Amino acid sequence: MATEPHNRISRSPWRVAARRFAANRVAVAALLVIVLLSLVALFAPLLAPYDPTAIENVLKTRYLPPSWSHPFGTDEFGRDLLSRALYGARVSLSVGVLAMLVAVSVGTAYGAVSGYAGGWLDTVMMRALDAFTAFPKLFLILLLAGVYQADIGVLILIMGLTSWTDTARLVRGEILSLKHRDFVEAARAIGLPAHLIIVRHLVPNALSPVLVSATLMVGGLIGVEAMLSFLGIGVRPPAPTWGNMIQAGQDALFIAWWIALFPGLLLAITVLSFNLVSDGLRDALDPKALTRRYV
Amino acid sequence: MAWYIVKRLLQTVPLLVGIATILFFVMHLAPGDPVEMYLRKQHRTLVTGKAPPSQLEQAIRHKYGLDRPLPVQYGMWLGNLARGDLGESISNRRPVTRLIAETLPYTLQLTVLALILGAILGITMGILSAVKQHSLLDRAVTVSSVTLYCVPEFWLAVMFILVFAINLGWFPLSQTRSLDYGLLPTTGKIADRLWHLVLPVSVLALSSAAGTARYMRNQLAGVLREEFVTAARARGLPESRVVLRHALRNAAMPIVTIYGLQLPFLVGGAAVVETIFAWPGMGAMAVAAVGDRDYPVIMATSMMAALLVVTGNLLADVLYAVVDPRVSLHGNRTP
Repeated sequence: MATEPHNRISRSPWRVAARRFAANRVAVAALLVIVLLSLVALFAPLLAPYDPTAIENVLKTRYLPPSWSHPFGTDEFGRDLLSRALYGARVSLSVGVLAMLVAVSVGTAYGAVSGYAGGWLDTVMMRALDAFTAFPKLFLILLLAGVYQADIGVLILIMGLTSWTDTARLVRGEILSLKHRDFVEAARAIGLPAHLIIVRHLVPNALSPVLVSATLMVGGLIGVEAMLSFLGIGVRPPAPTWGNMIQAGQDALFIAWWIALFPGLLLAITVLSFNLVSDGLRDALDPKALTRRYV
Repeated sequence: MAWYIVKRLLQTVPLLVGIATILFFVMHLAPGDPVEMYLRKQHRTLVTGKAPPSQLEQAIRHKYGLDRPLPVQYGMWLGNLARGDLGESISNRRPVTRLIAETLPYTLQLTVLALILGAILGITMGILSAVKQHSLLDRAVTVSSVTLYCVPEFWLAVMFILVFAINLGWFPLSQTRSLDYGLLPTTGKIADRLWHLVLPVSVLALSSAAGTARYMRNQLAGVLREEFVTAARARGLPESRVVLRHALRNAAMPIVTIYGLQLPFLVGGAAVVETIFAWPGMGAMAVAAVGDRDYPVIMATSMMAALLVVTGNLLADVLYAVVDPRVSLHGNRTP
């Protein structure tokens, strides 16, 4: 894989992949959406036209339909929903990305050890993984988040620690196919200890499929966090999240359709963007992908 | 074949014991105490304003064995579980087996219907899309399935209620039957039940179909490029026969696995959809039990969910063996 450039013309695989990704208009557009959302999340206090939790003259400002002064309308306490949605992006993106990092770290470590060790350890670790996968994940997250009355940190841990199995399988598979290659044999021949072979030689070469699945995972985790908040088990009000905004919207569905609509649209667009970027990355990183498959 | 099934069944026993063990300790190490929750709840209804007597708390603890050491509790629970005794709900003092027996049929109604409809819709769309690749239909199917795949189920459910129940008034908001259900004739009763099933089943079925359609299209499109398909065409077979008999059989196998993998999501999704539609299923009961720290109910519903998933995977494996002649029934799969 990562060979030294022989001359100026040869390009690194990552450069080739970046070029292929840039040629995929849908993926690039989705990436732009994600960048935009991240900026919005980062600068939410500057961008939000109102204080997302301020409650003023409720009777005058509650349940206002979308208008120029309140593009997303207002909720039952007269809070500006656009401002709340902007702050909600912070929760969604940070929980999604951080939980993904937890999952990918655990999964990579688990898969690398299992794949490199082989033998009975591999068998035991894979059986344990099967048991873990047999459990309905969404159900498990729901129960854990509820029973542990999770604050945002614990929530990230719970979501991360229940989502690592796919990464583990992926990394194990990659390691199995890599570990008898010449460059690994060479590393072993010069007496490099196993943990260094794994960390320096095997894992870096197994990263590209992990990147694809990690991007996909962020989208999925954002959806899970929203679901938990929706059920009142995730991040608690008054902190605005897309999930608890949709929950509030469900209660007011008869009088204020806009409350549930806009945060849900944002949520769907975000998850979709992560999916499309993941597709784009897969097509760009996979040298065997000859045709563009989606959209 | 029978031997293969027996072997797979035996393999699930340690799997279930493992799941039960993990579940027990994870739940019992969590902060929050069911007795405390129960007393607080009772208290609120009684409005006594006094702290509950500690003897009462001790008596309840003793009755449910919550004053014993954790390993003893675990042994008791596992023993009872093996005998099919799931204990008694702490929040409403009814046997959990009864609660499960009452709620499980409602969950199965939703999930089984959604699974079947989702499969029919998803597979049909996937086939049409793959056969007419790059056509307008293909694009429409691809775009809508990718989008649907990304729309969270709970929001889809809320939007369906908004559009089809509130604005159009075509379907009921929630519940499993109308208020005048008892007065209806038999055919009316069936129609009433089905009418209430439409929205929750559609939400689950559409989410499941989106993934299937996407997967089916890619699988079949790949298979259609293979040489044996060209050979079949060259022999002058009609295209429908080439697709349905030759290509589909080879594209169907991953779909079987996908269904095995989809089941956990369906069970989880059902919990949310049940909660939204006030559907008296096991998932909604579990969500409510989480709020009450009702350990026996939480544990029992989790075990049932795991059991459903394990059974689903088992069925998928057996089906796999039926569809794929390469699976050796006595050994492992050959890749």
